[in-house]
Amino acid sequence: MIFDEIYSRYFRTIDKVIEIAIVGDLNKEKLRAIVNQNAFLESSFFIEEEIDSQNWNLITSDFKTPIKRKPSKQVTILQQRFLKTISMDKRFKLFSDIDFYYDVEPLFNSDDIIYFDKYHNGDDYDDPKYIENFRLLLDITKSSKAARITFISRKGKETTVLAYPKKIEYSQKMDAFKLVTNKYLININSITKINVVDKTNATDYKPKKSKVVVEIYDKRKALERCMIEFSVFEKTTERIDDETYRMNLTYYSEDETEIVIRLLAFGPYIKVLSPESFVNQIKERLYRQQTLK
Amino acid sequence: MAKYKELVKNFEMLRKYAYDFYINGYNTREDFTYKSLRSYDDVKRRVESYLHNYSYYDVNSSGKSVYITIDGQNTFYNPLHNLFKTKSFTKNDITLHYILIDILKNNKDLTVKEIVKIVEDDYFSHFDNVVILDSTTVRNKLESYTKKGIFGKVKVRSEVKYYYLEKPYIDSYRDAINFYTLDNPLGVIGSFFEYENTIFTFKHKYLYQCLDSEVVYDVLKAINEECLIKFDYYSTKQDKYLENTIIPLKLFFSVTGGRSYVFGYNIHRRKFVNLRIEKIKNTQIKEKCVLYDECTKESEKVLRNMWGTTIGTKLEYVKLTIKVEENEDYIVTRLNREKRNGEVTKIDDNTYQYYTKCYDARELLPWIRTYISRISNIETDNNKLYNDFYNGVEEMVKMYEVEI
Repeated sequence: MIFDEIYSRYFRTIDKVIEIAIVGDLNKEKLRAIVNQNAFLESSFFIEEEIDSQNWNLITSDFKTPIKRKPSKQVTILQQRFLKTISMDKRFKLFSDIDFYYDVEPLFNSDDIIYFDKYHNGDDYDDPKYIENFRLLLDITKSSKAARITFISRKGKETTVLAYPKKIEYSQKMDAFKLVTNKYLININSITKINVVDKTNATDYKPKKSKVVVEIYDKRKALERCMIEFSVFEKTTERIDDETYRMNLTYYSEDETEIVIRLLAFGPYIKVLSPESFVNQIKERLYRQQTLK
Repeated sequence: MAKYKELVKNFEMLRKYAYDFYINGYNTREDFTYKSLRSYDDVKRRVESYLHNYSYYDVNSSGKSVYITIDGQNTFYNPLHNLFKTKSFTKNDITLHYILIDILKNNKDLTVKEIVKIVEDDYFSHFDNVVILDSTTVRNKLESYTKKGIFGKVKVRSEVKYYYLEKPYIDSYRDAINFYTLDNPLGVIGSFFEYENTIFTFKHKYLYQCLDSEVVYDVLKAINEECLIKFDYYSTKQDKYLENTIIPLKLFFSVTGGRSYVFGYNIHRRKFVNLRIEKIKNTQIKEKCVLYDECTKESEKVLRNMWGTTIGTKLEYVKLTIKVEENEDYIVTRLNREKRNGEVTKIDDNTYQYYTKCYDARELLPWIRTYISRISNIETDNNKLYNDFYNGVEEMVKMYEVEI
């Protein structure tokens, strides 16, 4: 069972409370601060009540504890099995060569699961150069350093840029990793050379966002499909009547073509209402389609 | 009236409401009819507490609705994992959790009797309001934590003794854990390590799928153990849950549309089925299935002919002709990447053909529509597909008032 109190946010919070109480530093204010930082929005009310009443027999009225050793994180069998499972994944070698030493069964085998619409020919995780590049980029990103990165662009040209890596993005659809820098998105499988540079840049990668308003007609399960498919985006949806819904979707502007295509997939069961520039893209595609008839 | 509590005993209600708030977000309080309005108020309050940075109100012509929204592309963790950290517990659960671990970290190989004495002398003596500790309660907790891998036990001259299982924390796997917490279908277990991820984000990761983790866990267990699995499955037609028993064989996940399925053999209906995971609840793993190997072999034939998730009896073909311009190699690349069990052939520099044979060609319709503006011909033995596509385009042309 996954839903278990041993993984509860309350337990993680009490770990920290006891840690402070052991060194004699706990008081009412610190207790509240720990709870507010580690538990849920209303937890302060419930946890403080239990501690004030000494119901849990862990913290005394003068904020001391009979617990002698600092609580440490446990690694349950469930967690060990999770580690075993991921260590058997083809992408695991990007992270570690260390042998997994717990004697447990994995939670599942990779062929128990089929991602049926995943792209063919994702990144090559067996390629030693790819693994080397990935690990170096991971280090650079974690240490907020810069790098001069050489890669083959979409047009087949070798390009070198000074980049400040901010994060690494994975696409399950493409089965590929991208390096996200302050200015560039670079497919990791296109990188040929990396030179670490002793520079830092505090600018974050802040891509522009756009909005689109869509009307959905609840026929042929279009509403259900739409709600699930676009749940990955920030959205709000309003019921207009029994069969009509209006969705406001926020997406990253660089992905606009993809959003156009995804909305087209719903055929006549959705209608883009605004902005005009987006509607025009839909109209243009329909026009070109009709001229091919 | 029972006092409101922030934590919950079982996950199913939370799962149902969180799914609606996150996926739909348009239903008002009065739309939630499967339980009382008081239940709605309690669950809503809890979800707002667990996910307070992601839950909002919308007030419109239908009324007031609660919704959860997350920028899935820019999040370093899955906020919905918080919901799995809300299990309620008794006073003994939390008290014994800390005290027993502390005792066994400081002492090796103790019997239940020895442990109870230490609890009373060294821990409870600090408090005025203790309740007499029942040794059965302590034994049950020790056994439970032994099953979880926190304690070990050994028999010494017919006495059972418990000890703490020291496990090094896996810091060297931190990056992998952070990645797979978001990637893996049971990634919520990775979130229990409580590492902070500041590196990995995902493009189009269907965060809501974690709500089905308990079902996914049981199905995968049944697959591994080659057992039958029984569960309640929501029938949209009858608007109620019906009991199903199947031989589970695979899980299917869509990375473009987000839906997830259990593929298996329904022993009563005597056919292969693909069932939506979010409609499954109350899973029970049953006995080992003697037909498992035979079933797996039969399923290979079925899986080969599935384009997506539809299972049928006869195969239908689709031949899609696509036009590309000179600088549009990326369209051909896309076609090749998305071909699944089909084939792509070059007809000439500006024309490519996609061919596939599968159950129910109509399943391709949404995918075919993504190539609108380039489709010069569709040839298929499924007339509905042909008509739906071209009639659909006509309808859209009218809807958008496109002048041809």
